[in-house]
Amino acid sequence: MKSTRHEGAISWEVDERQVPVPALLHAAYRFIDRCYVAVEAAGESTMRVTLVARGDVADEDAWEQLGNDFEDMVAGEVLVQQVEAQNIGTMEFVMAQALGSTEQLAGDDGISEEALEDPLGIAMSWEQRHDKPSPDSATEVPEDAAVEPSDEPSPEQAEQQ
Amino acid sequence: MSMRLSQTEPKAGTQAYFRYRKVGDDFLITNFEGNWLILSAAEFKHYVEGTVPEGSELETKLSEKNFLAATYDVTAAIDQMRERHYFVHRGPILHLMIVTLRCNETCVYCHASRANLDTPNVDMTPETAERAVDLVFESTSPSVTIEFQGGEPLVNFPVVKHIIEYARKRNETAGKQLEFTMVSNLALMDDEKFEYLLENKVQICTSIDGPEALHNAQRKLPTQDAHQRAVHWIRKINQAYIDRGLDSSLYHVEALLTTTKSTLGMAKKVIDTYIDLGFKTIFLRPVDPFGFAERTRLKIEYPRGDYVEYYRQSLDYMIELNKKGVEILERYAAIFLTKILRGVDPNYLDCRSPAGAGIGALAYNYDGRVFTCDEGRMLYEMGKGLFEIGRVGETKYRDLVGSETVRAMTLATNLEGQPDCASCAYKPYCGTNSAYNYNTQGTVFGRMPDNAVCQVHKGIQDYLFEKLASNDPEVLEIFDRWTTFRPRDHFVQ
Repeated sequence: MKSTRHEGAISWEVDERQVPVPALLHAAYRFIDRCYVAVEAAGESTMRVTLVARGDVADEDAWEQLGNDFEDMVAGEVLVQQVEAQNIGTMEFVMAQALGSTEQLAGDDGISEEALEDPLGIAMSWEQRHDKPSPDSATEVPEDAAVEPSDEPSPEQAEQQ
Repeated sequence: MSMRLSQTEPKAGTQAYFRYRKVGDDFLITNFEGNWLILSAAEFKHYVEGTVPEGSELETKLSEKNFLAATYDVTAAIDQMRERHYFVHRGPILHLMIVTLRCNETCVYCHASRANLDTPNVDMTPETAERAVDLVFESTSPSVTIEFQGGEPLVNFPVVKHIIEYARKRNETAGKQLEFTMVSNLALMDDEKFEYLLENKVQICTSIDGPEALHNAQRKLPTQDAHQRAVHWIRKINQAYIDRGLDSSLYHVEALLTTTKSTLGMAKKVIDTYIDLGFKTIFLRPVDPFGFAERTRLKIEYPRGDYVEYYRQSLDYMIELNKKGVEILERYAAIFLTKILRGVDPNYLDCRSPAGAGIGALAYNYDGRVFTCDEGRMLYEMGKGLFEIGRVGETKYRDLVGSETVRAMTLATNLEGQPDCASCAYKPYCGTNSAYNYNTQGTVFGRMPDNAVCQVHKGIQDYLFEKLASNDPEVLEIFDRWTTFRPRDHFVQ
């Protein structure tokens, strides 16, 4: 990752193939106490992260330290998420064995049907709730969300005409 | 210059799941079930790069603490995870009875949305109290504690007595481990009430904000003697325990401290006051943004970084005192250290995952409204009724604890699902409070990186792990003592 300094800000352009988007988002989120954070698509498989300090940054050394901290955070998130992916089966097994009650079992999977009720959709993702396909990457725009350019005037424009 | 992770070559494959945090020049690593190790920078580099030398001392300690995928002890991990989350299958243990909103004191930070002594219709009636106690005994928890709160509970003492007597009668058939606690400023205590509370084994907790001048300035009575009155009864109650042959190191009045801006510069004086009054514990709680505190925020609030600095100074001083043989324990530290060193959760409801709102505690307002927690009840008094989940005598127990509000709060306070917490090294020992998050950040989930409670929890744990990393045997012995749990059987009915 190579940073670029701007007036009052620092940014990186990150290749999604090297830094998975979830790791980048986690790292960026963990900086919202210190910075205003923008994460946006910057091209095919490229994300741009911009940090604008919320307080005064004393000098260039302090900016360098901030940048180093962010790069370390990204590296750490990438590693921890890879380790998690490799151990997720064990972790889920441990959690299920530790917390799965042997009492009051109803369903075949050991979880009562009542416990799985979710009438408000709290446990659902936005895509599930709105019946949309899950995006493969954070930079992918769902087809039905794309706005087709049109020569036809909008109803508001037609009214003004 | 300290090691930078981005300049190493991390390689996943050999590690069991872990999280990390820098502690000084060292690195703290914690694993899924809450084991921890402090590694030097060189050791951490080996660990993350997957180059731990075979047969090395490092490999042995990583393996013993379950940090390596190849030797991961699944059975031990299950046992530890179960131990840390034993409360999940219990149900509400703490039942807060707001027997009145009326209070004789006016506190600058009052959390309780108090009412003046002459305010009508803010006392719990005996009928409402009975219906609340009926719900208490519906709890699936085998042990229940009824905590009398207010306002000032001594203002409505007849209902306090009624609850105690009705609950004891209900417990003849329920057979739960039943305890009573009262949170009182003690200014309205008299010999008759005191004898009754003593006879009925009601544990008494009060507030002491530090030296007399500070206490009286923050907790105002018309007679300006709130401190003197509290101290009079603290001494009398403690002496009564001794007279009954109870161990004074275990049985004594507990006190809560609310840290305001004025407290920050008085760390040593506050601790000395507690010791002079015979307290063995002190709970350095930051002020909460509930009740009047929000309105007087500018006068009493402070950046949480200042609080963390005050906390560190206070703990340094308390450790020095302990080294000299003075017995004084800080409650926040004891809660975290019990999880860190003993691997069990002391069930402090605001600092566990998931939090206790609705599934570990219920709050019964004077008017019969039931809330997920005391903070939820306070927010209702501030016009934010999100955390009301029913009414005594109307709502069934299952509908209370199974309500959408409780489900949402349980999801929100499960740290596995919090984006900052999920990969935070302190996740196994931490917790968040969704009513607080809602009040300060507009969402029950909160945003942990700029959440004031998170900043305090991280600051305290940074301090504790720095001390653990220092390996000072005297400090380790003090921490071990602070985590020794001794049950107070005398208070069990």
